[in-house]
Amino acid sequence: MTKTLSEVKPGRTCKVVNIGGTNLLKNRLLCMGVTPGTTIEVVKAAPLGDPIELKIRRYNLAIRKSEASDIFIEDIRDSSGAADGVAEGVSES
Amino acid sequence: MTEQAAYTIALAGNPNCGKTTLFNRLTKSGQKVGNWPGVTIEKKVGFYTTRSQNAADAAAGGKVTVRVVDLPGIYSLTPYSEEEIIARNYIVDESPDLIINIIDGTNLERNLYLTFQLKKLGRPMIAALNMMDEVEQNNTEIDFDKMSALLGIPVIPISALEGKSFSAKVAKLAGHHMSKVAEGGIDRLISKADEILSCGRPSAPSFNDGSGALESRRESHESQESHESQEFHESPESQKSQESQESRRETCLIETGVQNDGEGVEKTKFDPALLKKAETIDYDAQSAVIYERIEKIISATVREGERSVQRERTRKIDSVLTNKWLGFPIFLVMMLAVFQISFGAVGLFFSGLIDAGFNELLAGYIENWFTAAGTSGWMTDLVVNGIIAGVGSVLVFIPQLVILFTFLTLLEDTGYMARAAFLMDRVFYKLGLSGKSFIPMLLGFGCTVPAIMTARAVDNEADRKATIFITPFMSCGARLPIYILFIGTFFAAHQGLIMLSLYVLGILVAVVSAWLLKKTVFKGPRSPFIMELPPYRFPDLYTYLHHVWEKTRGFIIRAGTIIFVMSIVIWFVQGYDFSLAPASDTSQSILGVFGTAIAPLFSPLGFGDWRAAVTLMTGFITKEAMVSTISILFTEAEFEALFTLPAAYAFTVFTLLYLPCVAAFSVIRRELGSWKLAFAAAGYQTAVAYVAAFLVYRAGMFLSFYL
Ligand SMILES: Nc1nc2c(ncn2[C@@H]2O[C@H](COP(=O)(O)OP(=O)(O)O)[C@@H](O)[C@H]2O)c(=O)[nH]1
Ligand SMILES: [Mg+2]
Repeated sequence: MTKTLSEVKPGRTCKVVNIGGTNLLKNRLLCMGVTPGTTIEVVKAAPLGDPIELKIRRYNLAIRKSEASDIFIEDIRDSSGAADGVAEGVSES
Repeated sequence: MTEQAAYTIALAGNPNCGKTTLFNRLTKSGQKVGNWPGVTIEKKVGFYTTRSQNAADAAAGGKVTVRVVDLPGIYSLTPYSEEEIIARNYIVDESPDLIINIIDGTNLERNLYLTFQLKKLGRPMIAALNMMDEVEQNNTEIDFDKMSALLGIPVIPISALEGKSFSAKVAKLAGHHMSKVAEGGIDRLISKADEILSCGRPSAPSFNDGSGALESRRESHESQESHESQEFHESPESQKSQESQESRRETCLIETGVQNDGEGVEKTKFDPALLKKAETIDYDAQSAVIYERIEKIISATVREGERSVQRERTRKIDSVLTNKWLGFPIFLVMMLAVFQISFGAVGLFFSGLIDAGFNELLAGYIENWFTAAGTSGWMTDLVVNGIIAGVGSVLVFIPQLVILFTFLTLLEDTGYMARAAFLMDRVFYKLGLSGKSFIPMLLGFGCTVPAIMTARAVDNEADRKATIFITPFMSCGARLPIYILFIGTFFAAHQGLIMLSLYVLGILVAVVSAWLLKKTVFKGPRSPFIMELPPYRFPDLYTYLHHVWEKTRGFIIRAGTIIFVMSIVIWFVQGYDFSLAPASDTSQSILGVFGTAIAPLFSPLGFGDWRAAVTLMTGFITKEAMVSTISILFTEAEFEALFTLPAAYAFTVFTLLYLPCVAAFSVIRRELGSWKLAFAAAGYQTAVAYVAAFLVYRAGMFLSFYL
């Protein structure tokens, strides 16, 4: 089962596989550098839980969880870089 | 000098890359701020003069004027937003002689994406790598020549904060780290621009002609050297030898080569329909390929330092300002403080000074002066009670606005406003709006005028319009006196509670309206919330003061002219009857007769008296004027006798919700860009007020009957 960015906890990083959703959203994210293969760090969630703050390509981006759930990802790791297989149930790398 | 500029340069770049700062450094004269046709997106045009390197120009006096256009800050050129369409169409339709693409050197990857897209439009282009001071602080090294070769355009490192200006000196004194690489970068940028401009122009002699052209170029260089002390660009490059001239010639040829690439570019007029088309365009492959190329260029030209000072600093600041527990309290305290200072004691103090100076002192002088000069009575009355009183009632807002803008611009220019939207988005999402609507609505409690102006920050057009529609429901400070009068007279026992109920009602109506409007008139695809959280940066003093001044000036000019005319009109209809003779008392005046005519409309709300109607009409001038109208038209006993308790409450509810004052209305008209929408907004607000006041009155009657 493919994971989406909305499932990644703050402090973890992951890799973009693909973007779903409307073309509008997709184009916008692509232009901002969310392309397949890019590493994303989930920095934190806003105090009310949404939106979330990401670090990507040396800058910080805020998107809503609903947008994050259209971004398919893999290879979740914790901040030390260790693959986070057990906690997240993902083992491919 | 303003209109006949020989060349046009367009500044393009991502938001927050330092475009405005550079614009202010380049153009010290003739800055003009307006809007792009048909939209409320800001268009800035400025000018600078330079010593031409072009023989033809040199013959014609040697000085050329260059027009600089600040394009909207954009991330790409897809037809995703109005800003992007505007920028794209400007470059395609107006063919600027040169594009200066400003790139945030600390964020090359994303910034270069736009560079690639701009290049495709086929205009001569220079990349200005900005923020070099920060790049240097991080020990990051960039090979500019190699990058230039790989990109196919000149790359010039700059720091927009640097320069000879006063504010640059202040920044230096304030401990701002100055870049060594970028020293003189702006001057180099200007001379590079000169060079490309003079060779890109059709009348310019072609370099392929042989030595003649080079001769004249060298000549103009020499004359430049002799005059350089009086010019603000003292280019080190201009002192270089023949050798560098050769290499420059090459660049120049590359430039013309670039120009030829662009012939297949489709021409598009500004067309919001493109926004809809955006949905059908798939950029998938294209974007990924461009980013791959960017990654390659960066790995070949950049050696990243171990740490990023700015990013660490920003992270630290954000660990407090968007902290799970501290984020909201700090935000609220900050907003309260801004509010308190602007609309509280400090603002009122300065407003009082203007009131005393303008409305009393000046009015008194003029009255005396007119009387002494034997000016006719009506003339004195028009000037003193019409114009001065009317314009003065708006001028007293200015200190409050200046203070407010001073703080808000600071929050904006440092990067905090993006955090505020980040904090508040969840709440507004539920209403169908985005977090960016929060600031206008909050400011609405102070004064509707600046609140509507800040709605520009809301990037989605439908959201922005909805925000403008509902912001007047936030009870502005000017309505307070009328609440105080009514509550003090009729609800002395429950003052706090009734007052609170009005504010809460305003918020509720705004919330319901937002939801309703987004469901009906302003529907449309929910725009995704994708917002950069820029690094916190120290604002440039000049740019900062400029922002404050522009906003204030906008208010003075836009609202001021309408107010001036309105004051005369109101003065006339209040003092004259239909035979155009001075009215014996207000009930006989045009306003009074009109009030009498529409008074029955208000009977269902419990206040069908002509004086109440007139009071509401003067509330259109300013809400403060309502209290003075009441004091002129009513005796205290009449006032108390006229309103039952439910009617009194209904009247305050109506005052809370109905159309805002003329200053706000004129700003609403401006920001909505159409009279039709402005009248629709005013009509909607008045209709809502009517229904709400009716319900309140009936409920009150019902309760007082049974209790
Ligand atoms: N350190 C540093 N800050 C800069 C430089 N240029 C601009 N800034 C700051 O970056 C922020 C954004 O600049 P601004 O000109 O408003 O960017 P714009 O959004 O592209 O118009 C402001 O706080 C500027 O003071 C620079 O060269 N160095
Ligand atoms: Mg700007």
